[in-house]
Amino acid sequence: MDPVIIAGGAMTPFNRRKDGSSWRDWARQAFEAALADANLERPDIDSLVVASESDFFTLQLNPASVLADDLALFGKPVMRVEGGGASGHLAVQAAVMQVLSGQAARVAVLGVEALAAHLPGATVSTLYGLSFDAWTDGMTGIDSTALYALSALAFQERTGASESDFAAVAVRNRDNACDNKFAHLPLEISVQDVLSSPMISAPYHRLDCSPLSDGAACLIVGRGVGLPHAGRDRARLVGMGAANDRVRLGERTDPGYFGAKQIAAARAIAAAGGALSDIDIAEVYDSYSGAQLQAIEALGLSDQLLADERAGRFAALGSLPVNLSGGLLGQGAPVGATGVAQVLTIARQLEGRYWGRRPDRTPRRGLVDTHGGIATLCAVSIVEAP
Amino acid sequence: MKRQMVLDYTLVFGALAPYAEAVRAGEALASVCQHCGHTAFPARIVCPQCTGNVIAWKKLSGRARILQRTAGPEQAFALVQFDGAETRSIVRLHAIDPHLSHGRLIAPHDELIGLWLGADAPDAGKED
Repeated sequence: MDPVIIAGGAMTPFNRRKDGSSWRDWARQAFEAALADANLERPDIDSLVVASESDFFTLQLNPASVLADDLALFGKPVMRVEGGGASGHLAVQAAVMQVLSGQAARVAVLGVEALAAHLPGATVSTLYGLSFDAWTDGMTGIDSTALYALSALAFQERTGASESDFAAVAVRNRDNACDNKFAHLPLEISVQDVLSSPMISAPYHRLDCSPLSDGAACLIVGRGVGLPHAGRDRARLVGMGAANDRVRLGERTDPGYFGAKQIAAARAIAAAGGALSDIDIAEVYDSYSGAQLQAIEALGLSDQLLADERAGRFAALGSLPVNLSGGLLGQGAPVGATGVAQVLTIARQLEGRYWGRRPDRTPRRGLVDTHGGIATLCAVSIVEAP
Repeated sequence: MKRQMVLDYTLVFGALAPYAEAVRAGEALASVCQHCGHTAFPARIVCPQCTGNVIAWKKLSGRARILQRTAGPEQAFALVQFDGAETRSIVRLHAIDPHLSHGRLIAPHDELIGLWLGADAPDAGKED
């Protein structure tokens, strides 16, 4: 596909807000910082795509209309994209499609979610029970952690991955987050700390789980002479793919395999050209520690997953650093903003101006992976250095 | 400022109403595709195998084999295979010892239509 420039971007801290600010404040802050990063002005923005998972979290239906008004964007095409946990990434892909179709030259993608400050955690957990088929699986009272746990058990049974393997991911991502000024859970912890944290739903302990976060992130994508310096010093999105899987875990051939990621990644690589072996940095959707390993497997980023994991291949100094932001486990997960921030992170890494932990060599090509449900709606994008 | 809302939903299951009513009664009613014979439980209106959209209903025994189970401090859930179904199902476990490999569908102990699995005994589903 024709490359689309990631002209600028910004994010707010991901955390539990206690400062009296609102989700509309975070959205505005991220948007204005992204404009500044792109060296653009408000009138330069042709279109706004908003990512927000659920009106339950904000008590605001049609949030895109309100945010466009808050941002003083009028007479523009404005839409909201929703795909569960993949909302932010799918919004980026929708914006790229607008650019590629020629309908807009500069599109702002604004992801925001208020998951932590507005509702009790138990209420959010109950609402997330509606993320799956609410008439079948959701009616059992199962929550996100238990459903992921059942998938993880099938993965463990097939691959031999242990709880310690999962815990090592949780430790590494929280450690990566220690260099990320925007991270929700930067922690210096051990595998034993993870294994001795309270059991939520076996095999997942509390420290295997990503937090509920507040926050916003914004990207501006575009192409051509409408961008400062034609975007020559900015990363380029060169391939994207998406795919869905059966919504009920029990109907999948292998409940432990995230099959839709494999399809989405193949489509993204086909659009970008080259091969998965060209990827030298990745941000993947680690809603749970084991989900990171399941993602790496399905994306095709390793053909000897556990050996690579145990040998440190996915650490900052490894040959394929994964989730140097801390991922959802460390950076946090305000859902609508999550995928937008993942793309921003990879773009900044490829431009050599990432604010957090960086690999020891500047990467040339990165992969971003996000999903909604239990890898039910999957989005993968490939980003290249300027 | 605090704002509280109460949502009083009326759920209507449409074409899946026979399935929903059966589950409420503790019975496993599967869909059988009239084109390819695929038997799905939970039931489906459009066959995931051949995309056929003509189904018949078939009552299963309700007995299921437990494939994976997970437990937290308060609740336990499992991925199970009901006898006669070609799909697996997510169930809530009710009073099933961890060593048991099978269980039987029971009526949900709440007002919903989730699948609950109790011990595989002749009187399972009759008691609370």
